[in-house]
Amino acid sequence: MSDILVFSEKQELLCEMLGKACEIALAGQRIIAAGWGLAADYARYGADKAYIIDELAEDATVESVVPALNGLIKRETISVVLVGATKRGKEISARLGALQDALGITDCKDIAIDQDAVEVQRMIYGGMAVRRERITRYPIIVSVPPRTFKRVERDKPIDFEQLALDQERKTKLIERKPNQVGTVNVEEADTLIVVGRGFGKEEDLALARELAGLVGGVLACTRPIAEDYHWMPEEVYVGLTGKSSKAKLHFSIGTSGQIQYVAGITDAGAIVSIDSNEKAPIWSATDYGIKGDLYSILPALNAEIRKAKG
Amino acid sequence: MLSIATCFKYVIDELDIRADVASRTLKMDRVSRKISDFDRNAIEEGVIQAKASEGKLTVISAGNDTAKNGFKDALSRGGSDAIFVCDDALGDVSAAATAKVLAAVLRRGEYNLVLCGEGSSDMYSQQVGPRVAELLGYPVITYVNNLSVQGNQVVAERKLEDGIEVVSCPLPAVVTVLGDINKPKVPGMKQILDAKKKPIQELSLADLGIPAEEIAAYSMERSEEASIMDRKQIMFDGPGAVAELVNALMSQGLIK
Repeated sequence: MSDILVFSEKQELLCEMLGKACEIALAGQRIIAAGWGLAADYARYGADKAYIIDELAEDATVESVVPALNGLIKRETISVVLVGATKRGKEISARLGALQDALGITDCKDIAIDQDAVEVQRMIYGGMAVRRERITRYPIIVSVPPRTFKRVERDKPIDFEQLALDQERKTKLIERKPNQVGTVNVEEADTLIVVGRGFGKEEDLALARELAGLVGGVLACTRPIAEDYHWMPEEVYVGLTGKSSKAKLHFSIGTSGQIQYVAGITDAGAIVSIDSNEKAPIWSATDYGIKGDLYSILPALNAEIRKAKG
Repeated sequence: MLSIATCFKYVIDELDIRADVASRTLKMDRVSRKISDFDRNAIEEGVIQAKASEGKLTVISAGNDTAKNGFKDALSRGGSDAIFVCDDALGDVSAAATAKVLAAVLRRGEYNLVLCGEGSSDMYSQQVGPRVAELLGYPVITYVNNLSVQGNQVVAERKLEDGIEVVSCPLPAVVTVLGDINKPKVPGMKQILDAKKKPIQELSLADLGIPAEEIAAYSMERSEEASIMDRKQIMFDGPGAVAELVNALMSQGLIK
């Protein structure tokens, strides 16, 4: 088993993957980071060597790094490539897979290495099932979502090299239109309140907004609230194709618990659910629940919290 | 005049899958199949772009015999013709294998624009489109919710985590599309009847010069288990329910 290459355009995510790589690496397996930023940071979090990538040209997309990474996989002897599973990272890992004629696993939830194989775990069928795969064909390209693993300080000595980029590229970046300032980051919220179709009118979300204010939480929603009703922006819907909740306290209000929504809350700490449907699937995804009409429960909840806070 | 190909996958409808909680196995005996959700958007986008350029759309899929049923739906949604790579070796294969097969088919035609969904609703690997592009040596633009072809250039808007990215690349190119790029029309009776007259070319792996062993080499040892949420399921009811809930949350320091 040769070395592990870890890449992400997001430095924090790269360091999280370094944490896991150090944990699972076999004796003698080097961990090589490739990214932007400082070699000292990557060494601090476990890289034996860092390739620091040249600054991107103004008209270059992040994905223009693919030929350079491919060259690196060939030059170093790499058996496992970990790529941060942002959307850009997923495109990069797929393209590296094709160039290397390698298998690729997307959005891995866990990974282990033994002498004979790499074992990965991920969700399939909209979150309905967990699939475990044992791969013996190398290299293997695995993409890893943010906050799946934790970074750990390892303080390795700094060893780095510059990684030059291909200037030849067919795709040009014309413009970036960033999300509006003040857009909440659902995936970083410690307390999250998700509203679903149990709410009848957009104005009624005020009840949930009040709860969010009382508990210091971020307001989010299920996919239909964003994509069908347009009551909230798409950046805040939670689910398989949307954001994941990693909240310590997660409120699920008026959400019936469709599998694609539940797939987005598996990593939440405590899930509190309020829904009127006795038989809703949300109950099996609930730690603390009240069955009933959210229009009477939610105001009562807000009042009780206000009272408890004094 | 664009020559467009949309690749689609005929998948198990995940909403039909049941889980046996005790044994953690999946029950697939009552499942129906469908064209993967975002692939419907890719077919619709093919229709839109073909119309805009007075070009044509071919719909393409690879699978075993079960996949044949997908073509009725695909052709009633659009496309003048179809190509079906049918082989027993192609049931539930990985993205690496699928991309290899699709690239082999696409090389035989001269398509300016290849469209795919961003990911399939069953596996959601989000790999096939970019892999196909790399195998063909085409540029790829992923996660697109706005697409226009201007002369020999594709100009596309990608919806990414930090906002919209506007990019361009020359044709021929591969584009993977998001669900909000368009609203697929539901085929009417006329489209469904017309679909029956459209030709479907069937190819085997042998026709593409791909030995079955090559596809088998992409397989991995795998096992599946129904996801079980291991949650406390503590329910509060009666007049004191809300007070008890708040108490429970405060005692754990979840609300301060």
